Amino acid sequence: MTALLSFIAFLILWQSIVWATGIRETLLPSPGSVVTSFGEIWGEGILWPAIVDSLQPLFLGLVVALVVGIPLGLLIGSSGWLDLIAAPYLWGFFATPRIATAPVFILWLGLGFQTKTVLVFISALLPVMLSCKEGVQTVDESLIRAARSFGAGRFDVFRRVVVPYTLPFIANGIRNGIARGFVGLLIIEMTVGRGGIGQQVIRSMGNFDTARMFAFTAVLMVTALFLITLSRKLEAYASRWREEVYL
Amino acid sequence: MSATAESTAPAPKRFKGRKQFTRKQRIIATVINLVLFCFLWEYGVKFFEIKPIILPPFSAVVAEIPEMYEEGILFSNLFFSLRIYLTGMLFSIILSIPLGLLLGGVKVLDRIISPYLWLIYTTPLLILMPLILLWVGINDTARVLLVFISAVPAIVVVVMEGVKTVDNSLLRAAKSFGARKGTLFRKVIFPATVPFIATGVKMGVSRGLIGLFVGELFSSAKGIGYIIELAGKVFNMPRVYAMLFMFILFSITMVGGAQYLERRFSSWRSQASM
Amino acid sequence: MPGAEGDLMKPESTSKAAAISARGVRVEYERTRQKDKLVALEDFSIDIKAGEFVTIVGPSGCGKSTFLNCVAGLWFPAAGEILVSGKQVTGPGRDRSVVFQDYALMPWRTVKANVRMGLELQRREDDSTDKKVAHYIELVGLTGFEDAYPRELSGGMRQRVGLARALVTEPGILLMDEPFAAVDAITRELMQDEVARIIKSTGQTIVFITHSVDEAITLGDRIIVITDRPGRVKEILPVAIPRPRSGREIRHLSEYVELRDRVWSLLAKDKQPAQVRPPAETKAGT
Repeated sequence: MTALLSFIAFLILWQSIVWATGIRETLLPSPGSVVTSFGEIWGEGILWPAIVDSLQPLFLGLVVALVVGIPLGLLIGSSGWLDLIAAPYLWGFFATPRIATAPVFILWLGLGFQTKTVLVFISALLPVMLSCKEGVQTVDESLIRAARSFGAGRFDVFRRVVVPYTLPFIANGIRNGIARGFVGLLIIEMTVGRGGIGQQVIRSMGNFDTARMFAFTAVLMVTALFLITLSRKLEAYASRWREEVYL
Repeated sequence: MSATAESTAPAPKRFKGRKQFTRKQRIIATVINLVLFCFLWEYGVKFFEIKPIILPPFSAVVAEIPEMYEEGILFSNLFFSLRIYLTGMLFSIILSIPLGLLLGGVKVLDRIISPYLWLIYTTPLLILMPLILLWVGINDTARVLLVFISAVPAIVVVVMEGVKTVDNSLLRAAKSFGARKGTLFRKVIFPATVPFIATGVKMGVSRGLIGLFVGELFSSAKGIGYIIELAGKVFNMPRVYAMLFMFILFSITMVGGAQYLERRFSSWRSQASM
Repeated sequence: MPGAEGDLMKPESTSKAAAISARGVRVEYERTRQKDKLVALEDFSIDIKAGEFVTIVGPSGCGKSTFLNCVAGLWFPAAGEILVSGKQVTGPGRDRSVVFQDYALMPWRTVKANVRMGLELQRREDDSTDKKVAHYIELVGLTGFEDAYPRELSGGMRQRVGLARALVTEPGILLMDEPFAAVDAITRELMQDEVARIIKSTGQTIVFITHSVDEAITLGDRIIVITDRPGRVKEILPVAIPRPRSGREIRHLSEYVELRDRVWSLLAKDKQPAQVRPPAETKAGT
């Protein structure tokens, strides 16, 4: 509940600054006008379609990233050869923010619903793959040896030791994938457009309607935080049998 | 009796496990890999008749680099981006390390400031970017600020955790020798936190890169993003790719360097840091 | 001691107890970084009778675990042969189970699920599985902890799970690789007594590796002393002390003390002076 108090204090501080400095609406709107704006976009029927326009490609891209990324990551982790081959590419793409590839995508795919989904997919794929790969590669050797001592073959070892061991890593990959996918989504929305909350933010900024911009930004923040918190909880649940604490 | 028995019995199933490669093997393999990649790119494009507007051949992309050099835009823009990045990173490191140490050590501050820190850390930068552009304008300061804002939370969070996890038994041992708070900090907490600082800086480096490129994308006056945007407008794809490639190289260098530093400073830790 | 179920199990297990035989075994490890071969065992030969409890002692790194791994079928000799019940070992099998030093329990499985795992992997689950699992959990003294997770258990308890897991597949041979090394001294002695009790009711051939001379004497029918790397059989000492043996009680027996001296002198001759631990307990007094 300190969070709530803190938030209220923050609002009070905000309002005070607006009153005290008499700052322009276009630079810092008062909390009140933001709330009004919020009501407007809800009433005008802009808010909901924007949300849908954002979440739809997000989920689609994420799902495909998981379907492709998890098996691929597990595979690369299992094979020394595949790892060797894929390593430089994985590394190169991981070190580079996906944002860098955005202009290329924008030019490539023209404008269409698919652009967003594809960029979400690409953004999310890498963290998912990387986490899965890492999970497989850090499996405790002694567990594998124990399974083998009972005569388990490659497939059994994989199914009964590697996969359960890797689940927390997979969940971690999902969490990162969601975060990066979200970013990929926003890049498109904030540059090219194609609907969605991000586009609305930029649009209201262009109209100097800062209150509305704040309103949409708040929606973005809430959505982002909600998704990320959800995925963190999922990760914590998947990791419940692990003893170590991770950052 | 001993040697012959093996040949008559059925061959034992050897469970090789994952193949381990030596460092040298990895390096050689990587080089071959990349060379192969370049070849495939070059000839694959011609073979599959991919339109150069989608994917230009490797040679065209590489050719752009000397061309940009001729035009005098290659290094100037690279350095511009580099300057912005390093300025932002410098400020963020200077602020974050003491801030992280402080927040990790002083519980009250931690409780007050942490939620906001966490908020900034978790919120994708792109959400905050319009606000920054609104208040600071579309200029170089904004870009430095973006790098700064991306890097700071990452570094602070890691350093904070580092301070908190300093082994209590170490502290107790030092205190039993009569160490006072200042000495305690200097001789026990700080050295123990160094690996975390190194890790934090590493995370800050990659986050900062994101901040850099967001800045490049939206407020490009000069820099890598500027070239890409310019080239994109006239559909000079080879140039777009060439600059992109430069950016990738840049990123790899930065993150690689940070990782190296991280390992150097974490050498006494038995557990691998992240 | 063992209830009706234990008696039912017994005849089956003893008939499966198998003999182990090694002839001129040489085992090598490749070291990629130094680019050489490490010879862990050289010209290693031993005969272990069915139903025997054999303890193996030797200096660190002498190849004891390597031998165990070979018998288990997890590693293969470069030369020589290892026979179980007269047949060469070509891989892991249902007739052999291993108890590991670091327990190697699957952290995401409960005690019950961990104990079952061997049977699962060997595709031998059937209607009697639940009863068998319950029986062995009871045998190792973990009744009531069936649904606990490894991280909730102490070291000694985890090792008991490891033991139950190895026993539930009813192997003819039980291979134990320093199972109590990671357990505290008091628990260790208690577990030695436990193992002796449990083994009595299951009657398998047991190969038990240990660093502790006392443990070797307390548990073994015969003690095999191995030289430093490359490992060879240095000497085999029969333990004439009658069972049941409790470590605490037999320690003053003259046979015990003589054996202890003998083993220590065998080990001491091998090692460089710096590595030899002076015997912890003194011979004098009770």
